[in-house]
Amino acid sequence: MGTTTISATDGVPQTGHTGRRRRTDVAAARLSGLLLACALLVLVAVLSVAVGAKAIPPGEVLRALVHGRDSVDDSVVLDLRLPRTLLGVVVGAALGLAGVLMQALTRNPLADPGILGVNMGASAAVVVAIALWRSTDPSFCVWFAFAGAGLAAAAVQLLGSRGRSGPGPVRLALAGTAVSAVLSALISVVTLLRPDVFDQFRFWGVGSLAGQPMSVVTEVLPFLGAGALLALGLSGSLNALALGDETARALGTGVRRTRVLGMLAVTLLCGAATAAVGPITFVGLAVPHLARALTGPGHRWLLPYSMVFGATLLLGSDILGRVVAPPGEIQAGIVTAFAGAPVFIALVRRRRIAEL
Amino acid sequence: MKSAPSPTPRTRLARPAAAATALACAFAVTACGSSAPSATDTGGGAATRTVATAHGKVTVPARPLRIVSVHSWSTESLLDLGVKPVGVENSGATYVPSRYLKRWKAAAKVTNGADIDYERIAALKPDLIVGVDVPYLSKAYRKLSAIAPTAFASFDESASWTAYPDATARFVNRTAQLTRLKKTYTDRIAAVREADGAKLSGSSWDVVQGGFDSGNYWIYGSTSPVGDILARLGARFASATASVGKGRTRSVSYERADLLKDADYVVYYTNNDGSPANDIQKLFALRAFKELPAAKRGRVVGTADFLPGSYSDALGVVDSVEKALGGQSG
Repeated sequence: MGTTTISATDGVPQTGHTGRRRRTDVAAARLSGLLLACALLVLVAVLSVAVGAKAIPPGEVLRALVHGRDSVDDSVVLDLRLPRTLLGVVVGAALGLAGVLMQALTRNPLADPGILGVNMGASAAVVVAIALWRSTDPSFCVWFAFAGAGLAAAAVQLLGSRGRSGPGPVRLALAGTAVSAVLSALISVVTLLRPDVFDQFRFWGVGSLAGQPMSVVTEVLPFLGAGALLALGLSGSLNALALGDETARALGTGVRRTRVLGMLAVTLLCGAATAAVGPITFVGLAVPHLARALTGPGHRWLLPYSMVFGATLLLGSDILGRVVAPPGEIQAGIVTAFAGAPVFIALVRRRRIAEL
Repeated sequence: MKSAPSPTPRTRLARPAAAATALACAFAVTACGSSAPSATDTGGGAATRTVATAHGKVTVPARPLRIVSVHSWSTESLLDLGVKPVGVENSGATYVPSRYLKRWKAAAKVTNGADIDYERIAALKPDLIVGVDVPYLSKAYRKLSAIAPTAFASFDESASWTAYPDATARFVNRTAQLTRLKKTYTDRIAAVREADGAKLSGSSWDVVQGGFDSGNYWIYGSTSPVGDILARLGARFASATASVGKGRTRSVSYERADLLKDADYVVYYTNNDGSPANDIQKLFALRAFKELPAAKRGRVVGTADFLPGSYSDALGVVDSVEKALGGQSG
């Protein structure tokens, strides 16, 4: 008779030889699923470069990618579609990862990029930058947005960890809500007193992948990369944290360390993503649930699945926004909300949202 | 084609939109357009007259002395008529035409569009409140009219820009000044037509601005304010502007800069300092735009008076057009 244990790394029950075999099968199935998801993302990325308001033959698109800017159409592919495609992949992946982290850290299935004050911190910083320097240049605003996100996250962590009980999920969520409310009020005050600031801020206020130069991708990529590595490295600790702080401590997990590093990763991911394209709702909220339905609660698989699903959802939304109202476009931030909400409702109706 | 996200997109104060409101206003437009003010002015300060407004007939002072304006168009109209309002909207100094800036700054600010400071308006003891019946002001009409007689010009997305200065002049009983301003404007139009008529009729024009939806720019139609002025000058429209329906704006992806390819001139909206307004510089930076005939020949014409609220603003547009034609190399 074999012994039964619970893996601290992937949450799959094990029972001797049968358990090991089942675990191998499950891992193989999840790996296959992840590869399929990656293939889907590649397909969506190819579509993103090939499809747009202007009809460009596939051969011309390929020629532009291989030979560079020989014509106006080449320029449309390389200067407009390629940056937004890359931005969609990295930002979508970051938001997917950040969503998993936030839901794990707060043990709140409805945690989204706004709950820890990161989005609002970025928005408030952009408003201040516009008010003081009157610039909405992405290369300029990105740094303010990132700094604002970091400061807001730090404030939330500080407020949420004060007191003898330490930074519990409820305390962090409450601190995030409070900081978001204060920052939202700050944005309202500045934009109400300065209509010209409001006029500029609204260009950034609706999340969009369009019109961003390649430099924005290169500017935020190091932060997104660092955040992604940090997040993926925390998968084991997040599994333990899901069992509760006491159990996590008993399993030898540094709860405080995990929360601090998790918050740092969220700041890097969400802050840089929001800075690059503005606030994008829904991806960080829904993607982890979608991924969890396939992977179960173990973070070793949940994190990479969410990365790929996040990128696919955001990029797919952006493509949809390009084709539904020609010759104009609808911003990805609007499409994610419209297209994602029914998916989320269907998920909620089909099965209970997993306990975190 | 879709409706403009905002027919007057430079400020929240001038951001009405709603087709429903436009429909509702259509009734009032008919009323306003058909009835002249019935003056009962006996020469005394307390004399009143009745004017047709978006909210029906309103009795207003024959010689209003303390006027509050709650909309940028009526403010510009008042200042153009030589009237100094005691209170004005705050659309941000950057959006106030420089010709009015000093006088606009001197007036108390009573609204920023989203919020109307009723207490401040009441404290100014106005004898007349004027504005445009855009949706957010239409909702405020009842409260404002409890403070002082309130005359709003009917709002209609397809109405000519001249409807607002004309209505404002009627409300404040300055029709004689309006007539003079109109004459200056029409004389100037005639002079430019005479001097540059061949160039205008021999070239095609598109009218655009940055818009508010990232990745898109907006194409304005031939009945837009700038379109109307260009038409009076005898200009011919290129296909993009010609294809936009009355009272509408077309939101177009940056990928479709090629829609402007048959334009000899492209007119766009600038800030007061001459810089491109509403992020249209992003479009200008694209090769797809730089390769356009108008861009190659340096015929991309900026004007800060893109959304005129007065006849002097319209003259600003004429100046910009004339300057562009003066630089025409052939």
